[in-house]
Amino acid sequence: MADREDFDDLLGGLDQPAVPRADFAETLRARLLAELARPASTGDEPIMQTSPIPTGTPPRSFNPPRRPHWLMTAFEIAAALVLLVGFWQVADRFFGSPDLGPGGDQANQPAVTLPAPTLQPAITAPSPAASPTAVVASAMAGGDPGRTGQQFGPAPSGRLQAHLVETGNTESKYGTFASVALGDTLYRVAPIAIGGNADGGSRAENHLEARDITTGALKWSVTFDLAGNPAVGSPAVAGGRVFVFAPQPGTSKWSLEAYDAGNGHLLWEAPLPAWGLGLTGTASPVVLNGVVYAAGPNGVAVALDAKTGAQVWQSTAFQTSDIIMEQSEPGIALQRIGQFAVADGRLYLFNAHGDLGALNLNDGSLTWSFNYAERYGPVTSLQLVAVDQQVIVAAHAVDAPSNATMTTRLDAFAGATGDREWTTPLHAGFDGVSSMAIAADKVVVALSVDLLGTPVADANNIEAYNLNDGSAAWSWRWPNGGDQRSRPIIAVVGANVYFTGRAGVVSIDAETGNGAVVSDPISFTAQNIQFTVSNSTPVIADGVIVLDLGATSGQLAILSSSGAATPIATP
Amino acid sequence: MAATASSRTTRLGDPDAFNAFYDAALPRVYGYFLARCGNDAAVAEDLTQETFLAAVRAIKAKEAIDSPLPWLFGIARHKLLDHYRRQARGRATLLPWRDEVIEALAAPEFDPAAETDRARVIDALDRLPEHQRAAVVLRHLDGLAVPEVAAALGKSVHAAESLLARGRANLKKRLSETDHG
Repeated sequence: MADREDFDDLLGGLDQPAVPRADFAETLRARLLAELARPASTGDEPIMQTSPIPTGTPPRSFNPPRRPHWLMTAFEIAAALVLLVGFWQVADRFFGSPDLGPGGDQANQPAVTLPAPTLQPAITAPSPAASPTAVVASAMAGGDPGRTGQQFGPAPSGRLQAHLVETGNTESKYGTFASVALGDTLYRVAPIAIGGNADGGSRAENHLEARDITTGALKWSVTFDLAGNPAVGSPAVAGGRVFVFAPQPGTSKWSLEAYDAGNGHLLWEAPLPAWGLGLTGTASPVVLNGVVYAAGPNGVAVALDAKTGAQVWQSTAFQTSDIIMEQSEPGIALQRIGQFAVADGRLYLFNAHGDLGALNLNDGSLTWSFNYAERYGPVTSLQLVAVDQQVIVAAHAVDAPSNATMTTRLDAFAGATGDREWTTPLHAGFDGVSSMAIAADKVVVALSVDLLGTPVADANNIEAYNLNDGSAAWSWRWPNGGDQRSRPIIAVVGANVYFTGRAGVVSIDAETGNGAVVSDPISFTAQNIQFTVSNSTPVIADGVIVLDLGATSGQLAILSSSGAATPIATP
Repeated sequence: MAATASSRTTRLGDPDAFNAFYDAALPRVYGYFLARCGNDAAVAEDLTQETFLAAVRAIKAKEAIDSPLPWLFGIARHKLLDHYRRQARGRATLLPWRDEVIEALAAPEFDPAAETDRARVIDALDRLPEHQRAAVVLRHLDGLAVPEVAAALGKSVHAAESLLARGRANLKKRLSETDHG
């Protein structure tokens, strides 16, 4: 059999005309005709006025929300025509009708046909959200809805002893992402190689698990049917439910699924809008006051009723089809896309164009946006935390393709207006900021200091800046220049910052910056190779710290107080 | 005289002409993307919109278009490849795919002529790794010659041939494994 000709016959017959949705077809037609009628411009209209760097002066004017430029054009045309007609009416009243050519009066003028504007779909406003700063018992990636890194704790004190617990399954080479804990239960998404191949094939199922956080014992487990695509991100837990993203098999789309936190029963699943790009390992829903929020790399966001999965609103106000963030370092950039935070009645998110946006939590309307890509060049990393009417952003930009110039900086924006309140450069390596958290009225940043195998000279591993003005508070670094490849993920309990490195778990007092290594190095052996744990995300609850050693290890490390005296201090 | 989508040279800047062109071309462009994106209507709508918007911008710059429908499909193909590339990057950050071991010899004998379920074929095509899918689509759906496939993908002819061989083997394997309804 002629293989190629057979495939020509098999696949060549797939092409068939198809009729799209009528409303899509007509909306697109109107948009195209409007674009066709629009006079050629010198370039794209600016999306947004960006705030210049403040110089200590009071906040500047509020940035207007973005609208589709053709809609603005239609209204501008309408406004101009109204003014023009009004002028002629006034002129006619006081000065007589002007000579308008043959016939000589306005009645013979051709009617002006405006392109029909296409309105955004009506957004149904939900009942007003309760105070967004209310304390809610919930756990998600980044700790809380604002992704401030705060966890419930309590954290163990003193010197810590690690106890390795087998998770009882053979895991693929692809590790778990951020687990979360609420009360005495750890919730995690664990990819499992199909066929039990520890070396990992190209396909993996995923289990959503609930485990006792102090013993690691399995409480329940649910298998996703992923048909070859791994689940991603971290669960979010609130109101007796566990929420997690799950790819829809055979498509590039995603669903949000809700499970009973007590027994793992599926409660509902809701399809999500097309995100335009794959979700990342750190993507996690946010649950607040009975509403679960999700946002994708293309800037589309949704709000769903946490009990039923019914859509409260969907917002395309910040949608982009441009992908600037992937131009320079896609592996790093896309790790950060999909992160968003909820605080103070707003949902803060990035899109793949490299913009930061703030959506009104009641209806998803765009309040303001800031264009990082235009300001800094191709951004490879954007992270944010939101707290107390501020949103703090760490941005890392690389001058592609030479990678010769890197810029890492920290910016603080007023949550209500988007005015930039302060900005400060950071001295970081190629991967910029690996994580951020809020502790003791400071933003704490963990920096990657690796510069393609060489540590950045005089760089710190952890730095803290005062929230009110961005002034430097303190810094911390590994002794003897060690761990220069570290990219710590920090977690906070109260005023204490925790992260892992090859030397062990580190605890830093966020008030003073005094830190210490509080455990021995954590290592395990797999496939006759000894691995030392670093950069694992700490989960802190119920008096223990849990590190998920999912990749290769198939174990959890549960750290509790050993009762020893003072921890070994680092210089 | 109203222009049709197949007119050799069409002044598409005229609204009536554009409307006629749009009516004729929309189902074909939309169908083009549906077959190549796993019958995902949302993705097909997005790509259809991108294609027509790009076309309108080009029409404004050069109002008379030679062979507008093939020209429009050229734009569509670019948008499709951009989409595949975005998908490849998105998945790559989560799971650095290893190339599958092609166990063609172990797969049951597969006769493409016997496959009549169009939806199943589209689904199997959509499950191929992105680079293989792109190569197979360009070669067997779009009818490009191998050197043209290589040029479109930015690869050598040898690399494109390898992608095609692996893509066909993978497609055969997937269609053999799936239960026939």
